[in-house]
Amino acid sequence: MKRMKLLAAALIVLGAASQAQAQTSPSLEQSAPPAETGSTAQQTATPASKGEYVARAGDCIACHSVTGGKAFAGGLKMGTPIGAIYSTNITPDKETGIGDYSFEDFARAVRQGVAKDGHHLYPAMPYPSYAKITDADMHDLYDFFMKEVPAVHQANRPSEIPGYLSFRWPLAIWNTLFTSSGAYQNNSAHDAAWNRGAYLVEGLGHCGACHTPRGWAFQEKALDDGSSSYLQGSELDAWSAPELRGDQLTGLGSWSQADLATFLKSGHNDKGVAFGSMLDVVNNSTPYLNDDDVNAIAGYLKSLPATTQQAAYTYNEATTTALQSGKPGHTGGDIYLGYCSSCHGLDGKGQTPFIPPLAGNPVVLDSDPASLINLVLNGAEPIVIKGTPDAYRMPQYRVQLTDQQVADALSFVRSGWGNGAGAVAADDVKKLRPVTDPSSDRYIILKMR
Amino acid sequence: MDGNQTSLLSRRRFLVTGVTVAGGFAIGISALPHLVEAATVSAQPWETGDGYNPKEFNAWIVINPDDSILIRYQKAEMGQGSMTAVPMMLNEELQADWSKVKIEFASANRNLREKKIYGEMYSNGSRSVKESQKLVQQVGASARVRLIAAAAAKWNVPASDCTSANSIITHNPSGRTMRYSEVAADAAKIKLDKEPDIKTPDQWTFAGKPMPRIDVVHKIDGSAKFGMDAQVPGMVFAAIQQCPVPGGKLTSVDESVVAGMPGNPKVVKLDNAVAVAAEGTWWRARQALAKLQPVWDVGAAGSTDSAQFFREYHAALDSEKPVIGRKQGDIDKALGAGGKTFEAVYETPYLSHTPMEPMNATVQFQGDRLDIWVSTQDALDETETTAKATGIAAENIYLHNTYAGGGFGRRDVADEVIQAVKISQAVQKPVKLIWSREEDTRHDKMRPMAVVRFRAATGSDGIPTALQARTVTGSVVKNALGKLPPNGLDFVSIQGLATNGYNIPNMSIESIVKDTHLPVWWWRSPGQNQNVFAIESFIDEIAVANGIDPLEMRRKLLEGKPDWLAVLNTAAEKADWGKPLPKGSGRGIAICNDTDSLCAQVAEVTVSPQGALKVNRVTVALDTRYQVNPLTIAEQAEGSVIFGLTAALYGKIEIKNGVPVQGNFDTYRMVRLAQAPKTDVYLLKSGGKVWGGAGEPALPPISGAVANAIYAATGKRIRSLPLMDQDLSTGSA
Amino acid sequence: MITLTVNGTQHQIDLEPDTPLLWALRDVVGLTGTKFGCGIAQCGACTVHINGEALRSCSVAIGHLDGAKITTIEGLSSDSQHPVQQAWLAEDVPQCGWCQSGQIMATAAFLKQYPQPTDADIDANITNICRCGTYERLRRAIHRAADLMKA
Ligand code: FES
Ligand code: FES
Repeated sequence: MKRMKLLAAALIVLGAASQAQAQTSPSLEQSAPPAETGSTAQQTATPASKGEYVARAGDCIACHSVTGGKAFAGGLKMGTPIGAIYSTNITPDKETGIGDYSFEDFARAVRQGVAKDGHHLYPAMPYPSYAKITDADMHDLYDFFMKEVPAVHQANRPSEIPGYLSFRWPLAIWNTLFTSSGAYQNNSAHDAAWNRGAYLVEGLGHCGACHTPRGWAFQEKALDDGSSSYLQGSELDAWSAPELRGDQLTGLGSWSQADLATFLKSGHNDKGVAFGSMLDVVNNSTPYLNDDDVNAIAGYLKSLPATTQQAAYTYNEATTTALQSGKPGHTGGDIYLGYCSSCHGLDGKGQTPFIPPLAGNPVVLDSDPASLINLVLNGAEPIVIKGTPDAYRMPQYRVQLTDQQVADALSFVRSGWGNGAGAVAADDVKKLRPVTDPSSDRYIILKMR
Repeated sequence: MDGNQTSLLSRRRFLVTGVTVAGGFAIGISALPHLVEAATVSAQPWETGDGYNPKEFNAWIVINPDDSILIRYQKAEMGQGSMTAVPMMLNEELQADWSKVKIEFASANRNLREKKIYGEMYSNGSRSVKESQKLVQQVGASARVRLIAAAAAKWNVPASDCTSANSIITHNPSGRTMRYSEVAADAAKIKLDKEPDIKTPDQWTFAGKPMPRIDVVHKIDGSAKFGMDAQVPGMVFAAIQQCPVPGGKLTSVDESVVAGMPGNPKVVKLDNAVAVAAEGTWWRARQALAKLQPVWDVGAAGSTDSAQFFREYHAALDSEKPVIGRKQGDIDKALGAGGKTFEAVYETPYLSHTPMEPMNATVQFQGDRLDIWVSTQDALDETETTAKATGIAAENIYLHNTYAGGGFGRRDVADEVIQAVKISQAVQKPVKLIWSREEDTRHDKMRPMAVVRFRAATGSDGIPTALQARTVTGSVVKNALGKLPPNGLDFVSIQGLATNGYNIPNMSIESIVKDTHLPVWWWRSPGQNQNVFAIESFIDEIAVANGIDPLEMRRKLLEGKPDWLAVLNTAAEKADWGKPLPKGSGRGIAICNDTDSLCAQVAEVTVSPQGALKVNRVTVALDTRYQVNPLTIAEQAEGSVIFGLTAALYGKIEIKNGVPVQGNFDTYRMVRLAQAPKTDVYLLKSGGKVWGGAGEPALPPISGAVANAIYAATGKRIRSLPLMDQDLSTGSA
Repeated sequence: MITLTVNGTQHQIDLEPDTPLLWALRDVVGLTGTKFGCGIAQCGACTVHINGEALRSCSVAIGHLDGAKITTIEGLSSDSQHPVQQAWLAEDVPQCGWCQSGQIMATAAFLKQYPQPTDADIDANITNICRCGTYERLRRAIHRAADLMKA
């Protein structure tokens, strides 16, 4: 599960766990696919209240609900190397939820990760980002949870971290080390739209939780645009969250502000399609934001300069010609013909916006092939934009292709059509195979009220 | 269809010169002169009206003035080839000009109204041919005799002076001839005081030789009409989602979300499912369905999983009292007699049938009349089941049999038909319901999972003197027939165990049935498809442990059984049993008695040090006792090997949260060309009182043969399937 | 409105652009020889030729096909004279037949690129599923078709 590594790290730093090789065990909630379509969960209408809007922007639901469960009742399993933890019930139920939280209790939990009873929340909760939430938004959010979210009586599942490792007090130290405090400060060097975008990205959207590389203690290296490592891309739980800065090949340099807005609104554009943890975002969050906010986010992201000089991508016809001959002269090419070309095309251009191009796609060009391997092994769940699932889904090849075959196919894709990315080794695949969940063809989307 | 008759014949001519049967020998025209022009069938081979024809000779035969003859076929055609073989037997007696014969599905509705004039219509248990034999030969014989009698009367000569062949009756003394069509009308009126005798297979001149399938011409140009291809004016397309946990119910669903979607989708709530019917394309229905977020009541089953089921099954081996299915000697005494003893437990998972054509049905109401187009294995039973479930009078139901895109036991449940009827009643339009592949896989009636424990003792010569097999498995009989027989024995659960042919003085075959919430059903070679893997592997274990060659062990155990030994030895010889193989390769053998046919198989495999398995070659010896069409028998054997190999290599439906996990071919993997071994089939016919089947008996041995070959190659004993979950690596290069 | 030329005949298709070609062919054009087996490009039952290239029509959105030339099994040849169809007849390949349109269309395109295929070429390129398990005859038929094309 996403964000798990923060937790692992927090404990590692404090010597509570030895190895940083944190991985999740397939969680039942996530991996049991009941049907081709539909889930037992409910779907959403357009946000009705200011508070719900804030909750959407913060994507609280992604972690505080499980497929088929009640919204915000918690229970999402987050595996860690020292035992699993479960997200908590944040419905206004007095006994099992946050029904007896005052506004102050609520704000402290969201901004500082300290629960009403004073215990420190595991930093799987992105409070380092939420710290930036304005008082106005915090009040709306509080009202939403107290007045609009139906109370669900569902006890929190205790963490499976063994007692001798579960002391939480060191988290306080971690927090003082790595959480900036205080609401978002306007940057007068930029206009209002930029600042709104920054607030949404750095604060509520907590984009950095996945997209910013992590430091020695697995803290996000940067929490705002002040640092060039901010949103520079990061490997997290067998996914490589792509860079969101201006780099031509591996970043968003080739995406226009409009491309970005389309992507956030619909989960795809003609340059790429959302996958992995980003599904939680496009299924539950960004499509529900108004155009101004989406454009603000896109504008802000486009303002982040490239960190490395990269020549713009240029398409190379040769691969297409080779494939058309039926003899690409590459083991991976043969596999591509047999398993991939029908959808992604001999020209590697996919069928946009439904099926992503592989030629020049930043995810394909990423120096870290983790996401590609993960996608081939486990496929992708369909995107569900406001309740409407995608027409097409990426099948999984876990039981069909060997590690070597996956590596060959991906090496072909990463070198084809002018993609200059490095080869993939069978060992890379071998490492990810046992620790990634086969995604089901069931999607997760939950009702907010 | 009739339009391209001539070209059809020319194609046939080509066909006959080249067609090859098992063992790879080619049949030349000279070998089969009567095949040069073969019978035909329509691309859309179902009667369009009510199953009658004013000119018909009888319910089975229509003889037209132009000498073309229509033969009605009462079973299903799902790939097994009976639509060719059964009419062959009828024409063996009728002696019609095969090139002018056309074959069509008989009407289930008429069969109902005329007290089963066509008999049973099911194609299952590999019985289509053997159970039709007497019936259709009688039909053909009695027609021929009456045709001859009518001609003799016209000539006013004794019928005994007349013979018939190729639709022509000859008065031998005078050489005068008359065509069937000229006397058909009179002949139809003739009553015989006694039905003529029918030929015994050794008297056959027409049946018994390789005959190309009549339906192939339509299956290479896209014209063959399957259930899913039926088109009815004004029909809407329906997609369905059934409760993810089988047995669960629909609680509620918000229909409003599909409003305004293309195709004017209508949501139909069923007891355990929700469907959407849309205009234009099935895709629109599927997309609208995808938008629904139904809420289900899944009940307690919602927290079950495969691992738990296996634990319960293992526990049941000792905690529950078995029903004895076969007993000889004194098993307890023999096991305790102090000889060398053996014990092993084998496991097999749930499997889905997964025919290539997903479940579907097209229905249309016209007043009281209900027309159904469906790919089915049992037109009659599905008519009656549908009548029962919907309250529609059976005689008002006209179920049109179509070509079926595979069945394997799945296509005689009618659940998809009943759904289609209910949806059509709800939307007041003709409906074509199609299940997605995921629905088809997960809402199958599964092959049950099973845990089988063996105990055995061997004598001083190393040959078993005692064998006990105790299986714990879901009850196909209870699910399919509603209840167990009075003796409480699920006879399917011990198929393949009790049917072993081994001379072991003390034997006890025992059954414990334990159901879960998953419905289970007949799955190609019921019982046998998992039990033969278990028993043939266990016999192998004993042989190896006692230092006896597995083939020799079986020869000893089958002494005095020439038919068993014949298939065993044929397979072994043709597979070069005993010839040395390179390191990492091995041969395995297995044998079974399924549907009264005997089948032995030798598999030759190579396992890489890293554990990559390749099945290189499979040799099949199959004795069906009698043969009507050796060509389709061989094809069924080849297909059965692949079907069984898919189960052995990849077959697994896991249950998580009560839900079958695997849904489509990306997770429920199939053998493809690259994994298909070279397969050589050798056919035997030992005759005798019972006829053997052809559609299933070549399936059970393959998994055991492969598992035993893996042992020979690696020393690793496989006790649980599928093989893809086993670590076969030896590390040693 | 999307214009498709199917087996030489022009059709105006008025469907959502994300509609897979398969359903446009089966439900609107009315050509049911192209079969549905999985819907996710895994089985090949829906294989057709799009501008000469063998593709799995369940996974090709018509939105991308305006003006495309499509050949289905019904249009592969007049009267089944195509060498692949003749080879299929000669080897009596089909059993249930559901997969065979796709097998034939895939093979027809494949043999253009591999006039003399080895078994390895076939294994690597013909990945369609046949649940009935006709592979033994299918392989023989592919080789036979190659020979017929030479002749
Ligand atoms: S239906 Fe298109 S590949 Fe299976
Ligand atoms: S012939 Fe039945 S699936 Fe291939």
